[in-house]
Amino acid sequence: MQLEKGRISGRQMMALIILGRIVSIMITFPLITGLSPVQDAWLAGLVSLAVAIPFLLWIIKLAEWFPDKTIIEYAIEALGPFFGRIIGAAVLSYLIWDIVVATRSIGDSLTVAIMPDTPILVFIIVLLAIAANAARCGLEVFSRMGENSLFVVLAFVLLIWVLPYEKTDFLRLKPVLSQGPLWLIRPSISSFSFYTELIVLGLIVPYLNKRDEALKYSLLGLLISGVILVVFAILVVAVFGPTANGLTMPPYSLTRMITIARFFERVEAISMGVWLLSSGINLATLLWATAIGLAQIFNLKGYRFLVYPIAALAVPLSVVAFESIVELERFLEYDMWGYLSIIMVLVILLPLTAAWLFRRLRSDA
Amino acid sequence: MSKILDILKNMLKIGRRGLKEEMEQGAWNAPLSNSLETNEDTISNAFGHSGDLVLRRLRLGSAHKHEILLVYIDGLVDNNLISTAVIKGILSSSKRVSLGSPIDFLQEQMILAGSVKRVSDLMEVLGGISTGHCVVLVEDYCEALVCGVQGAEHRGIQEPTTEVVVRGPKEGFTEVLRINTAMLRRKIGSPRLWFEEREVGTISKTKVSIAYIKGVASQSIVEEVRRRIERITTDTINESGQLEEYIEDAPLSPFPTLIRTERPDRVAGELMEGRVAILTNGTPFALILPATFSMYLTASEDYYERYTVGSALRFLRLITFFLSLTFPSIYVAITTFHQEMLPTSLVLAIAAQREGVPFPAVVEALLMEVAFEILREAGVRLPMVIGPAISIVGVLILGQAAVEASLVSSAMIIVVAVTAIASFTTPIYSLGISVRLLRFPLIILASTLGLFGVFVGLFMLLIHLCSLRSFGVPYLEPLAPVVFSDFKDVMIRAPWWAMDTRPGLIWTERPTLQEKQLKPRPPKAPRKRRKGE
Repeated sequence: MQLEKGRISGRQMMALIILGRIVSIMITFPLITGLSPVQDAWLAGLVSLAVAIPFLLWIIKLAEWFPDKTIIEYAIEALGPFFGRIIGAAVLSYLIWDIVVATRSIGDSLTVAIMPDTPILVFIIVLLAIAANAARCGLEVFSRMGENSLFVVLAFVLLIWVLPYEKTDFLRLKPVLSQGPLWLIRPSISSFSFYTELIVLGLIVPYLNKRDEALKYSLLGLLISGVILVVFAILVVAVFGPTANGLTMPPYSLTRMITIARFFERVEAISMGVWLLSSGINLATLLWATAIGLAQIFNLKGYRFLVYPIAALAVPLSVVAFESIVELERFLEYDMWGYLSIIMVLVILLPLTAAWLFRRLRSDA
Repeated sequence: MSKILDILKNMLKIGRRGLKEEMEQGAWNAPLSNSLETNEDTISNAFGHSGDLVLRRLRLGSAHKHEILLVYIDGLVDNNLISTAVIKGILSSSKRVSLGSPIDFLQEQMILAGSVKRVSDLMEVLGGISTGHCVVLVEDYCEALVCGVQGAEHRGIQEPTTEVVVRGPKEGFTEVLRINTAMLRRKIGSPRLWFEEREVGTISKTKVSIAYIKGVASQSIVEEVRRRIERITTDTINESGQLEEYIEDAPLSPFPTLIRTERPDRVAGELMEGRVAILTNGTPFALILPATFSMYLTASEDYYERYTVGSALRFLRLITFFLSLTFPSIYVAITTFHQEMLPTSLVLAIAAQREGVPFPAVVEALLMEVAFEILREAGVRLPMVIGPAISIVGVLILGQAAVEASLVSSAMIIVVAVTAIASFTTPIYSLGISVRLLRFPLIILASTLGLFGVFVGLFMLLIHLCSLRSFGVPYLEPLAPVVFSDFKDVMIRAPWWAMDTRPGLIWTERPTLQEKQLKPRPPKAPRKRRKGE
């Protein structure tokens, strides 16, 4: 039984990956905020990218070992109906948590940056409503939209890389590795949480129209988003110096630095459009994946009717989960989120791999 | 018991099959009678003794032994042709009618019309009469001849009024299907141009013609068009807009998913790309499908001007499209919520203008937009003679006086005017109308949530556009899904020598349009220099 009839191309999957990453770079940027010394953030970004590549390969390989099945389906197949569903529930809880964090961070940024007097509930409800609407249209529709939004978003990213050129000073990146290389471990872990969301690929890869493109395009998407992360980490420090770790939304502050001929100012209003575009599609992807996963766990015949309830569930969760943007950012830094994500991912992936290995050994014997 | 069942079955049948059988296979589904008198009565009764029905009796043969009845509708036939090709032929037959049947004699030797069909069915006779044929009946024979002498008066070929070009063919479609198909034939001189004709409408019997180029258009799309047209069982199709609503993909969407045009050159061009056109008798507007969004921002002139000009115009139209959709809402959002985005002097200027205005910006915007829509509608419906009156009223009262009375600010007048002018640049009128409607929800969103609201509205709009399909082809085709090879004809118009392939996603059966390397180059071998050069 196929829940989702749409098929997407490798490039569309790449767009979904990049847009999802760009949301957390452009808004909260957990790598930079609160990091000290912030000069080495970009090194931590590189390290985490290097770690993320094998992680991604792992997810894709799992999908290749169980072709045509989503991570939920093959968990049930490999581990039996009970333990498989527990693993599936772990995936879903991670995804829902991800929705909550993503919604809350965009909601907080909008309140802080653009409309301080509006209660955050307004943004959260509106965002989840449009994302759920997009998710209900099906994978094909929102990934098609992601594919063409990617051009807009990347163009905007290039704009905020290039335009504050007057204020950049790369000497501010010195000293390099003042705390020694071992110091990199902690920020790398927190930054790695930035990639663990890619577990959602376990639900997307089976719907590719050319399965062999999965590795190529997901790797490309990972590399592009890694490069964006590293370049932002460099630029933010090059513009703001060692105090960059005090910024709540570093790329947004970078955008505010843009001024051309005293006329082309305040482009940050456009950044709101880009936030909305990328996080809307990211949330749609996550909502869609959660709905598909839930439908597969309970053997339901459709998934579309689940999207609105899940979104409705995420509304109160993202309102009560954090007190303020400060608490959110502390959570996203190295307090919890990094470790939590890594543990979650291991809990999900290790049993599946073990089951596959066990099976393989048994069939060989 | 079985009788009741039969009746029930029949009722169900009528319910399901619609009016088709009920109307037509009732009284008129009979063979012709061999008595001329009866036939005359039946026909005349069928038309309710209408005044335009002409029944004329003649006699044939040297002994005038065969009585003949001519039936046609005055005004639908060519009177010249009737007298020269039919009546003259019959009356001047001093020759003896051969021993065979007079019907054969008439068909083979006497009637000079182009097409003569022999029928024996009353339905066909009635159908022939109402489509402008002349029917010849003979006493004692239960067969009739249906002669093609159609020649109704119609509007001549004129310049299309809705799509005007500076450069390019000036002829537009007319209301007559035959003339329209002929205009296409003149542009595409190949038997590959196929017209499949259907009659739609159980009573109106409107002729609808599916035009495509065999071997270029995708057969699956043509098949889909056939299927969708055949399932229409309405009584009447008046105009192609009505047909459009029965066959479009997204009947509830504000966006049209078929292109309507009255330019034969445009239809020919789209047919050549592998699309399908539907021509409807009685309207100069043809439908083109599958339609993609970029086609609505394309004028046929883009292809005739040089490509730099064409590309620049495309770009301009894209900008004006966004302006006409979002300019009022962005103005409302910025003046209400984000004043800091504007340069200080501009903010002060706007604030000074708005000082005496009693309404918030959103009321002002809605007021002026509605006023403008009224003005525009009045301008369209107005008799030509009073046209200038409305423009004077519009300019003086809604412009000058409203500002002087502090009802609206002059900045708002500028915004509305720019939006209006921008919306007139959309080449296909039907998209322009949709945009007109979508402006209002965007203004309301802008007034409640500021720019965030505008972006939310645009996001929903984009998702909606992405979910649309026109006959299976994604509506935003080269943009989403991204098809790089089709970018040559969207925001820019690539030079003709670079358009080697037809658009990819409409599944054309002949992907290449021309050979590569058609770019003109100066001759390679340099000309020998003559003396003195």
